[in-house]
Formats: sequence, structure tokens, C-alpha cells
Amino acid sequence: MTPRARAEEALRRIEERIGALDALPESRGRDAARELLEAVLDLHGLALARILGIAATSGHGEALFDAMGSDEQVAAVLLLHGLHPKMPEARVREALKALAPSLRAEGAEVSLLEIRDGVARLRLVAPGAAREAVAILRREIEEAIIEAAPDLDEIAIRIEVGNAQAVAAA
Amino acid sequence: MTAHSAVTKLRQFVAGPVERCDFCRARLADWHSHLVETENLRLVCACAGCAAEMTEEGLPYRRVEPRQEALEAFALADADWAMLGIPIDLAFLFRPEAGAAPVALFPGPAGATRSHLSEAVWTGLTRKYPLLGELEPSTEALLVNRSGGRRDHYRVSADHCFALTGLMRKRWRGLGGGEEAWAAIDAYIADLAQTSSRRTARHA
Repeated sequence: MTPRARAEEALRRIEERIGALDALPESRGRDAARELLEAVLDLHGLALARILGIAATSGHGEALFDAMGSDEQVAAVLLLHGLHPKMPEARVREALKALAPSLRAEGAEVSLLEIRDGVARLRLVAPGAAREAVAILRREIEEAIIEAAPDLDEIAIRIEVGNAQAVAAA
Repeated sequence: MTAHSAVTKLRQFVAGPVERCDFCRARLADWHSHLVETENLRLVCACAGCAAEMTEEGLPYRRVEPRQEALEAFALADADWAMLGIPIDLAFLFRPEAGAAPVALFPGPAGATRSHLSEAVWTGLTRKYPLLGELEPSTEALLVNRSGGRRDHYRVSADHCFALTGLMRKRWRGLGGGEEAWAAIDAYIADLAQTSSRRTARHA
């Protein structure tokens, strides 16, 4: 298996195991797993932050960060620790920009209002769109944002369909 | 499943359950305000700012003041309980808003089940048990626990109702709830018994 495939496999196994643990009722086992994970991630997060700090003082910081941020394998771990060199706002805006043409085709428009306290607040304007269409659009936007900024805690999309307004949090 | 959905899930798992204000999504401390949305008798969590804003005149929210009082001399007669038609041995009787239908809430596999009572039944009950008319509308309830042959009665704030029904929902098995669910109730009520203030005056 290539390193890239192994990294993807690891992510897949992690997601699967989290799903299995989440399905359990609250228990000491689950709490222990959570605490252990937290400690291991803390350890690695601190070391990674140091590594980035050392890279920053090397004189090649900018280029290094660009390379790290765009490397698929590395980016996932940086995002996990909230250490990605590109701020969540910049990544979300990029993702929304890429999404804009397909939204416009549905007569819809999305804008990022703010990112605060780990919550991204967005406004989706879809005048006259049917409920199912709006649900699909919302899903598309959420997936794009999760992909670009999984280091966010929550995505809150305010939907405006002409006169009606609904607040929907992911 | 996106490439980064594992990252999101891992972050959420490690962070544990994080409660957020139901209005503005600000992170909440362990102790935070609760409001009842009066039209549907739903409990919502709120930060201090939203709690103040959303309970202003004209909005359908009431602030929940924490309360737990053991009613030691209170006894709901068996015949009156039967009239309520609650299918299990525990329920919360709420006082409705003016003009609204009286509601009893009881735990079930899907959470809190709402059972509407007729005006006639409610009026009869409040005449016989004046306490019911003294409850704060929507935010307080008479907790009646008759499980295991007990006759416990408490005056509690609404958050207890939703905490208890939430507890049971997670553990509910089969038609009647199962041992684990009722054991959770016993534990909750035991805790209430220990920590509640006591009212010994008669209400019947």
C-alpha cells in the first residue's frame, strides 16, 4: 500500500471505530477511550505545533507551509489539530467560491457571515426553491465546508426562501 | 463520506458532548439557563443573553427557575391517576398557558410523550388539588411516580422532566421500558429525594 493509501485507510478505520464507540451507551470503556485519545492527540498536537514553529523560523516558512497545507496526508492531521496554515475562513471562502457556479444554476447564493467560537454562520438565499431542493443545497454546502474546514465545530446555515426564513444548524 | 469526515468525527468524539445555546450556538457552561418554548412544551438551552432576549414580552418562551420540592403530604388518588390514562407508572402534569390544552408528559422510547387532557378533567383536578393551579405555567410540573408501588410526588421545574425522559429514552427496551430504564428512574428520584426541599402541608 502506498503511504497515501495507508493514510486514507487509517482515516477510514478511525471513522468506523468512532461510529462504533458512539453507538455504545455512555460507559467507562467509552470514557476511557475518549480520554486516551485526547491525551495521545494532545501529545502529537503539541509536537506538531513545535515542528511548525521550527519551520517558521527556518527562513523557508511560507513555502513549507504551502507545501504542508496542500499535501493530502499532512493536511488531514494538521486540520485535526487545528494547525492548518491557512485560516478556516480562507478555506471556507475558497470552498464556497468553488460551489458558487452550481448554486447559481439553482438560482441560489450562499455567503459566509462570520466564523466565531468554532461556529461558521452562513446565509443561503434560494428564492422560491422547493423544500427538497433546499435540503440538497444545504447538504452540498455542509459537505464542502466539512471537507475544507473539518476543524470547525459547527455549521449554522440561515436559509432564506423568499418570505420564509428558517434557522438550521448542522 | 468525505476524506475529512474522519477528522470531524474524531474531533467531536474527543471533545465530548458540547452544549450550545439553541438560539445563537454559543458554547454553554455545564450550568446554563433553560427556557420552555410554550407552544410545544419544548425545553431549550440558552446563554444568558438569549435567555433575556427571548423571554421578552410577546415571545413564546418562559424562563425555567430550577425547583425541586418533595410533596410529602400530597397524594394523588388512584381513581384520579386512572382518569389521566397514562400508560406507565410515571408522569409530569404541567399547568397550561391561558387558553391552551392541559398536557401530561411521560417517558417513552422516543423521549417525552405528550398526552392532552380534557378541560373537564383538568378543571376537576385543580379543584381537588389546588397545587396544580399554583404551578408556574409551562415551566413547572407535578411529578407523579407510582413505579414499584411507590407514591412519590414532587413539584419540579421543567428541566427535570426532560432530563428524566432523556435518561429513560437512552435505556428504553421493549414495550414497558425494561429494567435498566426504570433503574435509572429510581436513581434519579433517589437523588431528588436527597436534594429536594420538603413541603409537608396538605394539598388535598
